[in-house]
Amino acid sequence: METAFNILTILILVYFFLLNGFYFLFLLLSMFGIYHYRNITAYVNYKKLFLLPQVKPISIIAPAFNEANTIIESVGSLLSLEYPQFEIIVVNDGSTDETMEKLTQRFNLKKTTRVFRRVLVSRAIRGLYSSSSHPKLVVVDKENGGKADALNAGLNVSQYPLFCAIDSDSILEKDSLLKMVRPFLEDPEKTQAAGGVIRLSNGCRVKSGQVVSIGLPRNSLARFQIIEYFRAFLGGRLGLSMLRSILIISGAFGVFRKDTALACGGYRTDTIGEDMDLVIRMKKYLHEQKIPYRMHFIPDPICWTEAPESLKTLTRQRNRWHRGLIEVLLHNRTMLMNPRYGVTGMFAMPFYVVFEMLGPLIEFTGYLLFAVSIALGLINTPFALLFFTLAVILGIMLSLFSILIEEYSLQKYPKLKDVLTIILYAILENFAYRQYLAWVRFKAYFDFLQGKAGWGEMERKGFKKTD
Amino acid sequence: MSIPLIIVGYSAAFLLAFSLALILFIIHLRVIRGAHKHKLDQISEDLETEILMAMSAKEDDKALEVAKKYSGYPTVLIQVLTEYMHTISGSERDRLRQIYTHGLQKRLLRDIGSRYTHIRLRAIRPFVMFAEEEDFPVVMQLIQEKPVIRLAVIDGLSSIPHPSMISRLFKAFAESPDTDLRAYLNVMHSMGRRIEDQVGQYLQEPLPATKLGVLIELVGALPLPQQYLPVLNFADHTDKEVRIRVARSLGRLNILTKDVRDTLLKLAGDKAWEVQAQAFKSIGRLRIEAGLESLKSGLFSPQWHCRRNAAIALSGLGEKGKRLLKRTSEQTEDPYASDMARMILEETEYFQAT
Repeated sequence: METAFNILTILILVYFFLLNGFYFLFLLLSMFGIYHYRNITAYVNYKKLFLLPQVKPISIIAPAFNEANTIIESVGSLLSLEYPQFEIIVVNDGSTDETMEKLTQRFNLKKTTRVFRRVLVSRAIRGLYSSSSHPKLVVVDKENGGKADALNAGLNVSQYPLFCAIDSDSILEKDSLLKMVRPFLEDPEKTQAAGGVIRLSNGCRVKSGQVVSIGLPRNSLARFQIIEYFRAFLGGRLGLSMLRSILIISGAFGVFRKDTALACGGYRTDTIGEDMDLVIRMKKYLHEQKIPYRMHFIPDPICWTEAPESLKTLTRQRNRWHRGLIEVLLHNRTMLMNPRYGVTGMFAMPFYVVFEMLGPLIEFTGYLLFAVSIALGLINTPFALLFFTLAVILGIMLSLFSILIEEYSLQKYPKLKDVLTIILYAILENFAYRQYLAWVRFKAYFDFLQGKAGWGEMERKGFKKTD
Repeated sequence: MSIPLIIVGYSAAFLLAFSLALILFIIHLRVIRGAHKHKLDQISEDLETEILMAMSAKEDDKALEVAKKYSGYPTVLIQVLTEYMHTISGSERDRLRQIYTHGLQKRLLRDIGSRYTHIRLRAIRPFVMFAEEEDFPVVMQLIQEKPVIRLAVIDGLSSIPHPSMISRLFKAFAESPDTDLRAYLNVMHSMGRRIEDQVGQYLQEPLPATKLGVLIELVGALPLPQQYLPVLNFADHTDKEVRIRVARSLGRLNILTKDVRDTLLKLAGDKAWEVQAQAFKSIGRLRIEAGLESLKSGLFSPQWHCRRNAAIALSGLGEKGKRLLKRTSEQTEDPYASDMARMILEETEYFQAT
């Protein structure tokens, strides 16, 4: 019994060190990547890119479900984007609030008969609307079918060879599309997709669809999430992208080649992790067709989105994310450890399965083992406490590194006081917040096994506007 | 104390110290960068004033003095000089060139050979901008390099290229492998209408279809109206890609002669649907009424792009076109044609009304 217990403890320790080792590796790669990216783009004139004849037009697809509080600001932000040729397709996915009414009123929408090819299956479209004041805007009003279904409807209606999937509650920075399209310009044959950085708009001020002043939210939960987003985007994804192992391009902001996405059958509607699923299936398809490709993560173009400020909404969101992750990885399990799929099959998929999908399970088993071993006297209490301290410090260090990357690269928060506050929250999050989220993700296994498939509602407060 | 406890204890202490150092470094970075930026802004302001004084001075000494004084701040000097090159014209540019030659040139040549991309990138734009005859081989070499370097060259070339740079560029284009064509298209496009003579000259050369395609594309994209006659000669080219570009460029040039009209009508009946689609678009753009019948057949094409372009073109042909669209929208034999006609009609009427 004791031997088994010891073996389990050792396994968990090995897992702990491996996990942190990988995170540090990604952070180091990210630092190198950011340094390189910053140096290179410091001398790129994006206005010149704008004029090049090779810039491909983009269809921006924004699915909206009950987004009445933020939809006008978001569409306003999209309309003010700097890009030579683009269209905005807002898909109202059967909203039950005033989303459609607000859009109709603000943008003078009128029903139109637009002919499109129905390449992907989606729920019935009730009507297509165009705006007299904004010719680039098309609104698709359809029956509720979920985000993936709305994206598929948008893809059917879209006209251009590239599409940008964004959340309709998000705000894009003016030049973000130009920055995002750079790899498609530099390497048009190979580049299949690109993802950008998501930032939290809580605490920021918005004017005419643009973030005009950046600040920290007052809500502690939102502050914790700021650090999480730093770690995820500036640490994890850039590092993974440098290893050609990126599996997630956030549904809130990503540009894809439409032909490849259509060849893969578009978004899968029976999953809640549709963004990750599309990336994995695109990779699968490209490997199977033996098409050389690249998917990039670009640390510069920024999309602002609102983070949940109540524990209930945050819990639902994280539960959903983890269920989505489990479902997508299991659905695409044939790629796992399959050399046919290159780095994706041999590294990215196993990494996500072992460290992201099983992470909460192992973390919880670890907590449990520690508690049991202290209670049974199987482990030295000072050692256990010291080890816990070590784990916490490691966690803080990872966060500090991602704050350092943010400071070096984007330096979005203008006040030193804000940076110090973020550092303070990077320390505080290790006590209770992280453990709570681990519990939420742990619970997601049971919800997944029970077949829970819902999205859960997201309460939107709307963007804080300037006077 | 047991050995594991000591190891864990020391590790924790080390990581704690490292974390504290990181916090201090983050704060330090913020403060240092702020101060550095402030200092550079100040230098930039001073430099601008002195450059203005040097430009208004009669002697060359002042320019040399500025070059000597600020050569230690290459980033600021590059920024200010390139900005002034964009805003100032005429003989006063010679003063800027003097400052460049004495304060930057040697350094930039060295930087361009650096192994670090960012150092090269910083140097390329001003180097290309101020390039003289003897620098051309270096510029041509840079065009063959990786995309980000090409982009910097484009940036420099689009400003004020030396006249003989253009002929060198076209010579290199004619000799380059097909893989570099995209880069050449971007570079040439960035130079604007200054390349019109060379485009005309090279359209007479026996170039492969891919290169002809680039040149014909440029004629329409820039546009270069004087080149419409040479472009017409390629309407019968065996390569579909060349014919597509002919159809597109003719529409963009906005010149309507009998030759152009006849060529577009011929291309509207081309065997390749891609050529047809482009020809329909151009017929609509130039409002060629004689194209009514071609556009009508285009509406019933099995290809979506042909139907759409033909319908849009018809909507631009006034009452006759609209009547044809309306008739098509009412027929039931081809639902695809009627759907397309209805959509374009609605869009046109809607936008006209609003």
